[in-house]
Amino acid sequence: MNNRNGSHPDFLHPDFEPGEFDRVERQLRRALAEDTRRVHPSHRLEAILHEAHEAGPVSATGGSGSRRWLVPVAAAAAVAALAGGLLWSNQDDRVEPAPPVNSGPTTIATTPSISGSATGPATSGQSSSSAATTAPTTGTTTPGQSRTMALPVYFVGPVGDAKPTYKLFREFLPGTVTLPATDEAKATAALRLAMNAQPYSNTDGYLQPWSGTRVTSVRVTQDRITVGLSNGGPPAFDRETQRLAVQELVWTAQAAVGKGTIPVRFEVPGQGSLYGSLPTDRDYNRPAKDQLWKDLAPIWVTSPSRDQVLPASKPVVVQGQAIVFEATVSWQLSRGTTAVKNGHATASIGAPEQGSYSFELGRLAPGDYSIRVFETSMKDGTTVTAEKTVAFSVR
Amino acid sequence: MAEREPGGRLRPTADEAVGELYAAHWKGLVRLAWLLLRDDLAAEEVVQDAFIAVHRRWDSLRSHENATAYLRRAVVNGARSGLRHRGVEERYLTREQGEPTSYARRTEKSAEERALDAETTSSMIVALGHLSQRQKEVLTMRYYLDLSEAEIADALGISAGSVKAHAHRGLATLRDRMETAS
Repeated sequence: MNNRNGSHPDFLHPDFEPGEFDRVERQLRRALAEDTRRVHPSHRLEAILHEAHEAGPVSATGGSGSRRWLVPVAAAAAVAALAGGLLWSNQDDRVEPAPPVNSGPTTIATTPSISGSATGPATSGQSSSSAATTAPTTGTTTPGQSRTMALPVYFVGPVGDAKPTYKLFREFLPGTVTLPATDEAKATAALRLAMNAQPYSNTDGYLQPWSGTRVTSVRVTQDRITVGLSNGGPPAFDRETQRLAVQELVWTAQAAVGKGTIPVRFEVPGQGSLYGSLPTDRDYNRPAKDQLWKDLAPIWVTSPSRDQVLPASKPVVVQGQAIVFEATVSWQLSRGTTAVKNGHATASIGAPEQGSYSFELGRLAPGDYSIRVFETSMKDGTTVTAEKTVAFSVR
Repeated sequence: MAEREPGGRLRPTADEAVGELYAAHWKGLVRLAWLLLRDDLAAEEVVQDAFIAVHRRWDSLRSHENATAYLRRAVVNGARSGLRHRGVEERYLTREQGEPTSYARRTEKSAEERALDAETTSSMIVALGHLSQRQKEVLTMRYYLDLSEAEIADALGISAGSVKAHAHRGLATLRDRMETAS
């Protein structure tokens, strides 16, 4: 980039003698390099992709004429911004009234100015609430090819209490997306993963409510995601599990499309319902921000991911999402079957909202570990009301 | 992935672009944020939010150059907000003043690292902490990220002349402090 040594005449004020700052520049450069050598950022790409998908593109989030779903999208952005207790100043991530005014199915017409204060795409028109298809086509990719992408996928699993209660857990899994990677292609790939919980049923206890069902089609418009299924699922589950199984698909499809809480409809050939009880002639959606606990498990661990191998040279950072009382979670690190460390962490916000938590385990000796994050009952302080355990290795 | 604009365009998806930007800039930007914030997790959060914002704006950012510039702006702004809202800077300065050699707050230093100008580094970092936020930003971007005057001006939303002026005052103050200290 620029010359690394010596002073920078171009950079310094002409009033100063060349070389006047040579020494302090060298010292400063070295000090900064030395000082940051100890900073080993943890891996956050999955979290970034997830948050971005959940929040959806800025140019699309204001797109519908319906104000109803703007609220949860704004909330999601706010949660993302609050993840570290931080607030944005100029980088305002709130939903902006700048809808994509695309009348055709394949154009991305926004060409906003991004310089300066970076306030996001310029408003180029007002929303037409008509359902223009805005599947972003990524150009001239040859159809039929596919690419592996990290996709957000939800599963129905036990929250970790004694009953057991079942709720949704989110994973970020590699999925095969056919190209061009349209919203439909991504949603289809993510739904396929969601409907095949078998790889995780032994380790995580995830249910397999869709093991005999396939996704046959996905259509995405600005105000509806329509999912075609090969059948409505077996009527073998209790009502709450049926509801969660449907919500699993709703959350997965919305997250994969990444444009906010677009209502989801299901189509089942020859059947008017899912599991014989949930009608297909109505919209399904995520609950409101303060009702997320109805669907989501209280504790998620998002990093490390399952069986991830981490380098021994770096401190291990555990991250996750939690809907817990007073935003408090406890954790226990085990190596093999031996508990080696424990502690508490505070999420960015307490129940009923979902907050982000994060804590450091320091550098760990090579070995196989598991991290268990749990919430204990407010009544007695010992009964575990929710927990999640993730295995990982350090090499 | 190659970017062809505007004809038979083949643009990377937001996922791909962010993946590449992440590979190129994650570590450097977290370290930049850390230099400004002095807080590991806060630094990661700020940069994570910047990457999320880029992902969400990829359709309008359109190129890695624009996105990189946007990332820098977002990180610097995020670090500023972080400082305002958390007071981490004050905590850091208090801590540093109490323990002059604790700049490497993280862990085990090797004997040779210790020997090698540890004291100079330590007092330089402390001195940097006493500069104005703007001066600190300019000097950090210049001497840690090796950015040009124009890039710094863009990232901070100030003129090139102001960048020069801040760099000068900052360097002069650092020099004076270092000379006094030694």
